[in-house]
Amino acid sequence: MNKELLKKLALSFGPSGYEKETADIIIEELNRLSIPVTRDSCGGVIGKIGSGEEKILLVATMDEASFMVTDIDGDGFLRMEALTAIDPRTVAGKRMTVGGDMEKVDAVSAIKVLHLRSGGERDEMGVDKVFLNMGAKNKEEAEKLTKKGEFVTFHGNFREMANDYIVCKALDGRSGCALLLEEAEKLVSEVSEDRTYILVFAVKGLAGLSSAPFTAFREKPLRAVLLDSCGADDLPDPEKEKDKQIHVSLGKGALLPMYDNQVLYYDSPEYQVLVASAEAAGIPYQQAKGCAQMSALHLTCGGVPMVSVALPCRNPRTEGVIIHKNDYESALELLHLAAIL
Amino acid sequence: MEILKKLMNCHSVSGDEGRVAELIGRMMEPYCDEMYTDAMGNLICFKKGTAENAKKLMLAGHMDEIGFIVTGIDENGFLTIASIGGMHMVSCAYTTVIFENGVRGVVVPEANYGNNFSPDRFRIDIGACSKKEAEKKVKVGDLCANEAHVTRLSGQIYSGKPFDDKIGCAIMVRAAMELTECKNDTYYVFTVQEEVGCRGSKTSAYAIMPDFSLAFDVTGTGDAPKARPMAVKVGGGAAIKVKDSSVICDRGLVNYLYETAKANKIPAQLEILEAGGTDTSSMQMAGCGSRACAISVPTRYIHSLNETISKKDYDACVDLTVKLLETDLNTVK
Repeated sequence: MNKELLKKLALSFGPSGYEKETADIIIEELNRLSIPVTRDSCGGVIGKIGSGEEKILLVATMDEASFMVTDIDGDGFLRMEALTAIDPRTVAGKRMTVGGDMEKVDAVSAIKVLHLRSGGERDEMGVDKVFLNMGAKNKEEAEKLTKKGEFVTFHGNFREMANDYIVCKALDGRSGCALLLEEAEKLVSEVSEDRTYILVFAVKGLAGLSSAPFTAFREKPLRAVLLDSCGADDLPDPEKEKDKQIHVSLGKGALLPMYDNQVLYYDSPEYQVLVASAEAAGIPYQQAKGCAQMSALHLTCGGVPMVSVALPCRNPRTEGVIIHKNDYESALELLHLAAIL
Repeated sequence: MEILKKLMNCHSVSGDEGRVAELIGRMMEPYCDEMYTDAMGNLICFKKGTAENAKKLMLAGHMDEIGFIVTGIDENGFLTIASIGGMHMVSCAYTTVIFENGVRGVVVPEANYGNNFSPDRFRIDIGACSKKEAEKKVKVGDLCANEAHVTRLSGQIYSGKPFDDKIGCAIMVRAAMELTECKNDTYYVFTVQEEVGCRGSKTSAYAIMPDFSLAFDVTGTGDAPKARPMAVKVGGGAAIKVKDSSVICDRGLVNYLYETAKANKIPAQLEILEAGGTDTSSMQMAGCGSRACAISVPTRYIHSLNETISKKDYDACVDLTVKLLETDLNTVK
């Protein structure tokens, strides 16, 4: 596991639609590996390994849970709107970063203080109830720091916890990028002459607007491997029924989703082989329903058969996404198997 | 009913349509010029048209059916499941399912399930007494479906499953067989994964880019007890789709089909389905679009174990389809 690379990627500022900082880190790494780089029309980064006829797409996304500044009020506070799916209860009381065209500014998210809320208002929570405080005294001061249309992400703090857990913002998307870069290093020396691996670091994946289909349309690949993350449901829950089914756990290996709401993976012949190979090689893995939103890629042109390797995580799309080192290592091995099949 | 029964007995839960594709391929071989399967598993059978400047016509019927996937095996040997497609849990409680390897099981709800009919609250009992015993017979990811059957009720009314949409495929196969002259460049496409979102039809339509397209599927009726008001009834003839929730069909094609049915004394009715989607919209919206319509078989109790149809309607659908295939589509306004 290349922790430094993962940390650099996770801490970079890459909201949906403004992934430049993250893209630059990825391009630097691809250059280091002498992998030719092109961009798609929305800023996605594409790397090509090999020059064979069989094209395989390996897809990750560069963005993170993010928001857009929609208003600056008279007191110098900002209002924002979510760009990705978000649980509004995880947004208040967090350190945030505001930036984009202008220089980055620290801010803190807040909602109307609890003891001033009455009755039903106490339970109401929505991103529209959140305001950001940059320390500006008034609108004029605030407008010197930021403007409408700027982006907001959670502030990043990469920490290693006990027992091989890692927590940071953006790990749900960025770990896919890190896995792909680590695998790229292997593929550069191992690619066979009948193959081309097309690495796609897409934009806006978490906003449901992934740019990956553009490359699929252009390249017409044989198949694709999707790197994703999936929320784990193994956390103890006081209201949990005794025999609730647990589908995805942390620490038990990466998830090989059988299907999700938009794509069936089990019909792909590679899926069965991947599961059997993982079993034979003793790589820990889990099988359950996944949570990707990639039907656009799957149904591009005449269809792109897909398998997916998903990293289990806790608290996806929050400031404290938690992953486990074992799952990352397992994902790396499974990604390699899926790529070379 | 022979072709239909053969197709129905060959299980094909969404994503696992290979066996039916092979079966249909063998049936269609003498009636088409070219046959191939695409990346998604759709089966495409092409027959060149005799008309000058023949139009491209795509026909679509889906090969897949709804079913369950095994998501886990508990310590007592019961299987936890998720549904593939719109499985109707009330309908399949306490019914038998069959796996590809022949293992049979019973779909059972948890005791005290109250009003919660989600698949999480169900298990499959394959008669194993322990997790180990169950693991010898099935594994996570295995697919199963209720066993297929056809029962004649009375007259021309039959109950069975899965009429949705093996009957659509059967109409296409019979039309190909009964056709005397194929006027248009016709693509008989047996699609995959319709039950999970009309996926196969999207990609196959893109590859073909038809001028005209026709889907074959089942449609609801207004004649079951307390059913939503709907003009379509079992025994009323082939249902010509005017609209459903995903498509408004091409007016010219709808009128042509209705006039043709009248002129040839083929029983027909017009269909407006307030819910439900079919492969029709995928074909209408592919690339630059096509003129699309559908011919549907009126069916009571869709997605249950006893979908109910009339053979009269089934035959009418075949007759009407043959009439359309024998028309040079250049002449349709």
